[in-house]
Amino acid sequence: MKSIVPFISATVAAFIIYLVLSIGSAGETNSILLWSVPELIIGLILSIITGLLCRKLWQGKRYTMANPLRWLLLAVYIIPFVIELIIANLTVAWKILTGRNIRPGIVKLTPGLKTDAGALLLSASITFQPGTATVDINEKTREMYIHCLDVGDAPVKGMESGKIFARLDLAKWIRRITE
Amino acid sequence: MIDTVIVILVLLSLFFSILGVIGLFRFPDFYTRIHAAGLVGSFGVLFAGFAVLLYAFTLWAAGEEAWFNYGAHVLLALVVVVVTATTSTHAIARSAYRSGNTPKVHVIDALEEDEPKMMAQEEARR
Repeated sequence: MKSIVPFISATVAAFIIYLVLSIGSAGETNSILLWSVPELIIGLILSIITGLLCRKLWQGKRYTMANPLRWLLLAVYIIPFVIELIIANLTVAWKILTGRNIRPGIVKLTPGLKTDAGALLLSASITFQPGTATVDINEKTREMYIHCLDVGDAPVKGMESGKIFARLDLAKWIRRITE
Repeated sequence: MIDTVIVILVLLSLFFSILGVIGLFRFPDFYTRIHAAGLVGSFGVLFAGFAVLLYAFTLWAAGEEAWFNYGAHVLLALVVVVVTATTSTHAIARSAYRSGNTPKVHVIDALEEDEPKMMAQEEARR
């Protein structure tokens, strides 16, 4: 009974991905919207099997991210993320073109996030931006160790969470989304 | 007109991919090369994906049925690439550091003294 929520969520996620992959399978007859009926039945069976296999992997206890408003905020988060991504890409491209004006180093980031989801989102955002990559993370205190291509003029080991990004403080956004 | 935009997007993707490969050869050590590879993984892939999305849009405007094949698959591929590129970059960097491959060229290294402590912590929890 305990594993009913992870079973349902894994099944729904697998079925949605199957629907996206098999889109446009509708024929002349025997089809619902864009999918053919045999495809839907096979997809349902396969996603139930996936859900059964995945139900033990769930270890979460918090349900803060079950709020649909937070998912809306997560979609809005793409805008500041893309702005940061453009700046980071151009910076790294310029550094590659001009040569060895790089000051690499590993800094410690203490973002003060309260949830695992927030830590995951922040470290993933940092890693996807070229120029910064999360090397390690302390799972208890959620301190991140980040390798930067350019640590700045006056490098310090403990860096504030806002300084790692060029313009916008994505950590503040993530705190707004997940807490 | 829209064909020109698609070609420009593909050329941009190519430009950033080439820069990433040049960076792989140019940067001094493993960790800095990760950032050069990240250039291919972010803008190189994203611009190529947007080019195909735009092509799917032109198919839709022309009234052809194949547009959702292109559109849906590329959208899913973009999501999967973003997730897996991030995860694999972190996995490679973490395993490299833990196996003793510390950065050769660095200004500061905050992980140097904290690494044994953290590994002991994780060992104790297991």
